[in-house]
This record gives sequence, C-alpha cells and structure tokens, in this order.
Amino acid sequence: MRKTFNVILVTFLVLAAGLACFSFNVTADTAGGTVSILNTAPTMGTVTLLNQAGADAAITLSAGGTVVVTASATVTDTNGGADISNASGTLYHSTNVSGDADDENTHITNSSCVLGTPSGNDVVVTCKFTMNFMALGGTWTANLTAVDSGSDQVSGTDDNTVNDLAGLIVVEDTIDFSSLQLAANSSAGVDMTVRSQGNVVIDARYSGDDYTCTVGTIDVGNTRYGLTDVSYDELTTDLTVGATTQTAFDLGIRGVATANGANSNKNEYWGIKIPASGVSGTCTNTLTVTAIASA
Amino acid sequence: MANKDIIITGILAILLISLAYEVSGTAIGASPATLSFKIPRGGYEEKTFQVSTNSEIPLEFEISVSDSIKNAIKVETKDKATVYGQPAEIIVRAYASRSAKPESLDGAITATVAANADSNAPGGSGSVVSTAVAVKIKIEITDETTSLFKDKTFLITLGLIVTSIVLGSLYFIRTKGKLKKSRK
Repeated sequence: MRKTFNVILVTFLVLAAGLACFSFNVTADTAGGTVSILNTAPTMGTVTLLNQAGADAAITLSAGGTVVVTASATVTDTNGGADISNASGTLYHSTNVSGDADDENTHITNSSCVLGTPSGNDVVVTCKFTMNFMALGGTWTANLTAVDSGSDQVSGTDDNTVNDLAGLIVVEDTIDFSSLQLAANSSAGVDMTVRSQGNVVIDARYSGDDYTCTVGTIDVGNTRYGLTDVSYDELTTDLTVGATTQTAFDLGIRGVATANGANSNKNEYWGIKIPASGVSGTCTNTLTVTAIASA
Repeated sequence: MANKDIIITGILAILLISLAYEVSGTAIGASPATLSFKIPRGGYEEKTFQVSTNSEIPLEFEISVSDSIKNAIKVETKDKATVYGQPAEIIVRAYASRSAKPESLDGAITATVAANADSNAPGGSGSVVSTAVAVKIKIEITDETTSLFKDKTFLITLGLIVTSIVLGSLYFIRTKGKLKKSRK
C-alpha cells in the first residue's frame, strides 16, 4: 500500500514538474511579442505674442534699428513632450497671410523656434522675431506651428499691435555753402539727404537761427530751401526761426516707397545770399530738421 | 616716431573715426507718432511715447511743446538721453479745466538732439545740422464734466456701502430685540 502511494506521489511530482516547464514555455512565447503605439497629434495651448519689453502690450519699434519680440505656447503631445521634433513661426501684418514670402515691411519667418525641456506631455515652444524700423504699424499676427515625430502638426495664433514710428537720419552733419563773395548768392542748391527711419510717411520741419560770422551776422531768412535743385533766386521758401512744416516732403517708408533693402531718401536743396556788407570770415548757424508724421 | 607712439596715434585715429561715424547720420525717432486725447471738462488723461535712436553712444535731447497745447499738457521725462536698445520714455498728461470750452487742440511735442558741436562747415559759411522728431498731439475736450455720480465704479461702491449699512442695521436691531427678550 505504501509502495503504491510512493509510486503515485513520484508520478504526480514528475507530471507537475512537466506541466510547470510546459506552462513556462508557453508564457515565454506570449511575452516575446511587440506592441506598436500609434502616434497622436499634438495640441497647442494659448499663444502669447509679447512686445520688445516682454510685456503683453503694444510693440514699439526703434528708429533705425531693430527690436525682438517673442511668441510662445505650450504644446501637449500624449506621446510625451519629447515627441515634438520641430517648431516654426511666422509673424505677419494684417495685409499678409502666414504663407506669404518674407518682406521687411510685412512678414517675418522663424523656421527654427526653440523647444524647451519637455515636462511630461508638455513642451514650451518659443519663437523670436526681429522687427525692423520699417515694419508697418497696425495689427500683426504670430502663427506658431509644432510638428511631432509622426509628422502630425498643430498651429495657434495671437495678435498684437505695432505702434507708428516717425524717424529720420540726416546723412550730412553740415550744409556747406563753401566760399562766396559779398552780395553773392549760391548759384546751385546744396543738397541735404534725409532718410526715413520709421514706419510712417513723414514731412520735414525746418527751423534755424542767424549765422554768426567772424565779423557780423547773417539773417536766418537769407537761407532758402526747396525740393528741386535750382539757384537761390528760384528757391521760394525762406528758413525761419520758428519751425515750418514742408507738407510736400512726404518721405515714404523704406520697402514701401522703395524696393526691399533700399533706403528711402529725399533731397532738400539749400541756398544762401550773402549780404553786401558788414560780414567777413566764417559764418555758421544751426539748422534743425524735424521728422513729423505726414497728415 | 617710436612704435609706442605710432600705436597710440593709431588707436586715437580709430577712436575718432568711429566716434565721427556714430554721430554722423544718427537716427532719431518717436513712437507712437501721434497721441490723441479725449478728455471731459475737469478730467485728464495720461499717455506715453518713446524716443529712440540707433546710436551706440547716448544721445541727449531737449523736449519742447508747441504753444497751441502748452496750457493743456504736462510732460514728464525720466531720461533726457537715449541709446540704442534703451528708448527714453516720455509721459504726457493732458488736462481740461472745469471751465474749459469743448474744442479740439492740435500741437506737437518735439525731441531735439543738440547739433554736433564738432561739426563745422569747412567752407566760408554753412549750417550745422541738428535733428529732431515731433509727436503730433490731438486733444479733444468734450462737453461732459467729470462727476463722481457718472462714475460707474463709484456708484457700485456707494450702492454696496449703503446696502451693507442697511442690512447691518436691520441685523443689529433684530439681534438687540432678541437679547432684550432673552434677558426678560
């Protein structure tokens, strides 16, 4: 009886061991499979277009220079924030659309925006745009696009306002009438170049003071100016102490009045009449050239 | 001339040339180019504009206000110089007295850069150029008068205070009545 029991026990143990081995093998085969996780399209939170000072306020440009503005947004990808592989952005004037070509007045592209360090499923996208002084005033839109490893993409926009900027450069430091005889006029106009440095059409305002000579003075009204290169006698506008606006000046915006990249200039021509007596030596005065937005 | 002198002369020459370059053709601008105010009699409004330049060396300027608006505005300048990347902020406050007539005032605030004193007409006579920029100012004084009772915020606050006092008084009367009863 005991022997029979032992035989049954051994048989049971052998069978149990065999089953255990068999079941182990089966389990191992099942666990060796691969799972492919499908890509999920990312989503984008609120886009914020900040001004040159990092504030959510209107953008103020810099005369003759550039300012940098920043657009940013949080992008969420349920495959993980690190799944976002690339981000780009455009900044464009209300007269443009995102897909237009770059233009110094109306459109800027940043094709390599910065991806922050992913945090879970989120990553912050930051696009910087350099705006030149000739960028048109009005509403601008920042359009950000983020792409994930599966080439799914998401976009978002935000608007901001660019303020008008009136600005100029006078290329010459001095207006040189050279040497003239007493009672003589400058026979040809001496030109002065005014260059636009803003994003509005400007007029020029002129004022001056009397010339101080080594001996004596010359009245400021002995200086005349105009937009055409003619002799003193043909110039009709006298320079005055009080500022006078030349409404016909209308110096256009660079890139609008000219081709992209070409400065917008206007020449003013100057003449002087030397008194018949009472002056000698070198005569100098101050001429003030003021930019003001055209009406 | 010793090598040391040549080097010093060279450095000075480069410095002078670079300074001359900075001063010559320096941009000045103002933004916004126009400021518009609409103020009721007895009221005021504040706005700002910025004076900017492309100059890497500080550009000093003077502010002046045209006579037509001199009595209606006050200008506050924190900085009287600007340098590239650091525009100067100008604060403009427009006022209208209670007795002011409804009217529109037009004028300008001008920021003028001093002429380069080193510049001189090389010939017998000439002008040293000074540059400036003007911001157009438009002030419209309206027929309305500022009154506390026209201010919605004031009215809401006043309403809340009155309601609180009334409710508080009612609660106090009721509580006091209950206390008297309980004492009896």
